[in-house]
Amino acid sequence: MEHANWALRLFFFIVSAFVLWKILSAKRGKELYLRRVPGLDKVDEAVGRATEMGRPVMFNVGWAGLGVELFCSLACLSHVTRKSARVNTRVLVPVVIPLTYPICEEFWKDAYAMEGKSGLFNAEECVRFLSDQQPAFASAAAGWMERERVGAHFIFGYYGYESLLLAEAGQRAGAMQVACVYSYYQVPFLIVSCDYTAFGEEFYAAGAYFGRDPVLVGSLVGQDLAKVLVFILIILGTILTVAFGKFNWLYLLLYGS
Amino acid sequence: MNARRAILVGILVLVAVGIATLVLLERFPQYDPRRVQPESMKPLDRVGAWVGALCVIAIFSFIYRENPFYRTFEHILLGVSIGFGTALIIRQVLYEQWWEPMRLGIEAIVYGRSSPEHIWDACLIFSGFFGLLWYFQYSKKYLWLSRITIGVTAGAAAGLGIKRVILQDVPQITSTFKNIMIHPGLAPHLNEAARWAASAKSFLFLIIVCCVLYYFFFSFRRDTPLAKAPADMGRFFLMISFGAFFGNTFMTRVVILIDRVQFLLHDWLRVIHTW
Repeated sequence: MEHANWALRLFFFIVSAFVLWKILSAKRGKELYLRRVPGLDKVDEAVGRATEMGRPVMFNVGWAGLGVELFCSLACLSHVTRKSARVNTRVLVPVVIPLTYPICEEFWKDAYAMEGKSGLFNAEECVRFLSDQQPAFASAAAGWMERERVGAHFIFGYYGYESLLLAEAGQRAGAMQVACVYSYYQVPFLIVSCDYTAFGEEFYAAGAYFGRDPVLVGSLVGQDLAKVLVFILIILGTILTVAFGKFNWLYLLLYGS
Repeated sequence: MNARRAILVGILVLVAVGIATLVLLERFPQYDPRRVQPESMKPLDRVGAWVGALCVIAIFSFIYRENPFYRTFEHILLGVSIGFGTALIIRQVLYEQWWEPMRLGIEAIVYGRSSPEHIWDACLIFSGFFGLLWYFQYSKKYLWLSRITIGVTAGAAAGLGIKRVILQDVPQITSTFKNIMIHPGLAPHLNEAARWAASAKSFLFLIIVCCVLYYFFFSFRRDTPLAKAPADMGRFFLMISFGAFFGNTFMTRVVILIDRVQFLLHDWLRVIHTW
């Protein structure tokens, strides 16, 4: 498909309308229901366990550049860091993309500041850019994890094969591990090596799940309405394909130009 | 037996197998692959093979425990990757994609032989200016200037994301429109059994797509068994697909391990020959 036609533009505006409607509802104070995501429930437990053992927490933000995925990871980083700051626990953040290093550092500092714990730990020692090469990053992060003997390890974001290296190193260090990734090729490895795993859309929901910010919750609920629309289109498309064949009007409409 | 002891036992078993193999090859020399003269290597290549083998063994030593040997080579690897990456960015990105086109564009404008392409290339000076704003991260007073670049970059990523959703993800909706009742007029080349099989496959595909889509609803309650069942089925189907991904990716990683072992045995120790 090269360009969107009027039908696709309408689809885009309908989805945007759903999201904006629910954001406005959330901002007006309407309570929007979000179901439990079992893997994400255990984040607080992992931070508590690390605190009891007197060990730091490590939070991996993944390989994403400046985009949606990074900001989802950072929302989760902010939540975990604030929880850790309340109990005076160190949060270690290995960074992959150099462009994201100052942003990660800023989120880390802000989280400690919001809990009144600025200056408790040194940002330069805790937030480190390691490497933008996969094998070098995996080696360095695994070595750091083992040397620091982390008590909890969070794997959030986008990963390649290094996800298993990180998870294995975390297991060896005795850390409680929670993974939340959206790359389906890495999920199987994280399921077998981490204590709790969330995947796919649950990664995008994590930010709203933790912070309960009205904008994030509203956009998540709006996206659910968009999924209902997709659901209806799939059923309708299948019925039309059975009745009129593959190249029915709905297929041609959504195919674009 | 704990993990560390198991690893030690495994290593001892491998060494014992290696010694037994060498002893047997002495007893039956006709099967010794070292009798085939390996192709000669240049002295510098031999040095490279030794250095490479040392790096591989140092990194593999992490399997036993984190140690100074591993730590040294980890830091060497980090330094080399960052140094190499920096040189690559300066040469292939900054120089070839920014500096040279910008310089040629500005030169063309100054000497009065510009074309629209030269004007666009000269505008690259603004992207350089925007890039420099990043460094105001180190200034407390002018930190807000760096936020301009972050905002522009994040906005561009959001715009590209919207384009990706519309142009790449929407066709996935149309590709789920499958015929779940294939009649003879539609597929005359198939016999009845094949038509039923194709229809069943399409129907199963539809069920799986709907169940997996239902699993990722976050704002609908699943208090009743009827509401919970499709989500459970969706999770079940996802786990089956994860098993397939696991097997496929696991094979790829075994191939990578075989490549490293082959490097150690062929290029370094020269005890095997390649076919």
